[in-house]
Amino acid sequence: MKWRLIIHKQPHTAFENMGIDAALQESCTVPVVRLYTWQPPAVSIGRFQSLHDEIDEQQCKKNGVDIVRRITGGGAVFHDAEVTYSICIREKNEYFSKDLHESYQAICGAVIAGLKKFGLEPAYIPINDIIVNGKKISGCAQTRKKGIILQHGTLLVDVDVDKMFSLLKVPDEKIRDKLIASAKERVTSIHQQLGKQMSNEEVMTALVDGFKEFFNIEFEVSELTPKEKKRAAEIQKTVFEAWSYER
Amino acid sequence: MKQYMVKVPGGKLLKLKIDIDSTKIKSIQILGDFFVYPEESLFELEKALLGVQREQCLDIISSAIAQQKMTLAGFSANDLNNLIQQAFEEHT
Repeated sequence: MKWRLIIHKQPHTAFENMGIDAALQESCTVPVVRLYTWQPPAVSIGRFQSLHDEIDEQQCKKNGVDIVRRITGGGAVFHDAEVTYSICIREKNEYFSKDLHESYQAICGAVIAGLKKFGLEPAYIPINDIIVNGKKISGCAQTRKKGIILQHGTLLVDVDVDKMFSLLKVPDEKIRDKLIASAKERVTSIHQQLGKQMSNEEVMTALVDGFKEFFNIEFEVSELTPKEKKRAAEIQKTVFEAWSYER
Repeated sequence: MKQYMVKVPGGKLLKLKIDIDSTKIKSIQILGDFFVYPEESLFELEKALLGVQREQCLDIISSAIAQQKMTLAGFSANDLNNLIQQAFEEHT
C-alpha cells in the first residue's frame, strides 16, 4: 500500500493549514503525509492554553503575525522559517502500536531519519521533541479522532528567538532577557546546525526520504480532493477562525 | 480567579485558574502545554469539578479519567489534585 504525499510548496495561512490538517484526519483511509509552510507567519497555541496568558496580541498584530488555536495540545509555537509536516494514519496500523508514546516516537523517528540526510545526529526526547546537539529543532503534537491519529510537527529551518519572544508573553518582564538568552541555548535550526541555509524544498525532500526509509514505504504524490478542500474551508471557518480566543 | 502553576518534573506546565467559594470549587480552568486524549474530556472534567469539596477532588478526577477513558500526557491525576489542594490550602 502506497502512502499519500501532499507537498504544499506554496504557503498557506495558519487557518488554512489547520483546516487542511483536520480535513485530512477526517478523510483518512490510507496514511497521508503533508508538508507545508506558513504565510503570514503565525503563532499557534495548544488546545489547553490561555491565549491571553501566552500571546502578546498587540505585538502579533503590529508584526502581521496571525494567531491560531490548534486542535492539538502542547505549547505555543512561532511558525516562520520552518517546514511543517502532518501525518494522518489509523491508530491500528502495521507500523507502530496504539500506545501514545510509541506512536510519537515512531513518527519522530521518520523526522529524525530525514534530518540525518543532512548529516545531523538528532535524538528523540519524549514526549514530543527532537534535539540536535542538545537543542530543540523540532516539536510536535498529536490528536486522535475516530481511530485516526493526526500528528503535526515543526522543523526549524531558521530561527529568530528575539522575534519569537517579542510575540510571547513572559511571566515577568524583568526576566525577559534571561529567558531569551536561555531559549537561545535550548533552540536551534537546520541553518544554525549546518552553518548554511537550506531551502524549504531541500528540507521537504529530506523529510520525504526520511518517512520512506523509516517506515519502508512508497509514496503516491497527491493533491487535496475537491471534497477535502471544501471540508477544510468549512473547518477553517467554523473552528479555527472562531475559537482561538475561547480560553 | 486565582492562578496556581506547576512545572511537572519530567512533564509539562500545568496551570489552574480557580475560584473557591467557602468550601467548594466555584469555577476552574485547567490550562497548560500538556496533552489530554480525548481533548474534550478535559472540559468535561472541569465541569465535573464544579461544586466539589476539597476531599472529593481526587475521586472526581480519578472517576472522570476512568469513565471518559482519558489519557493524560505531561501530568498525572495526582499533579492536578495537588494543585487544587494548594488552592484550597491558601483559601482557608
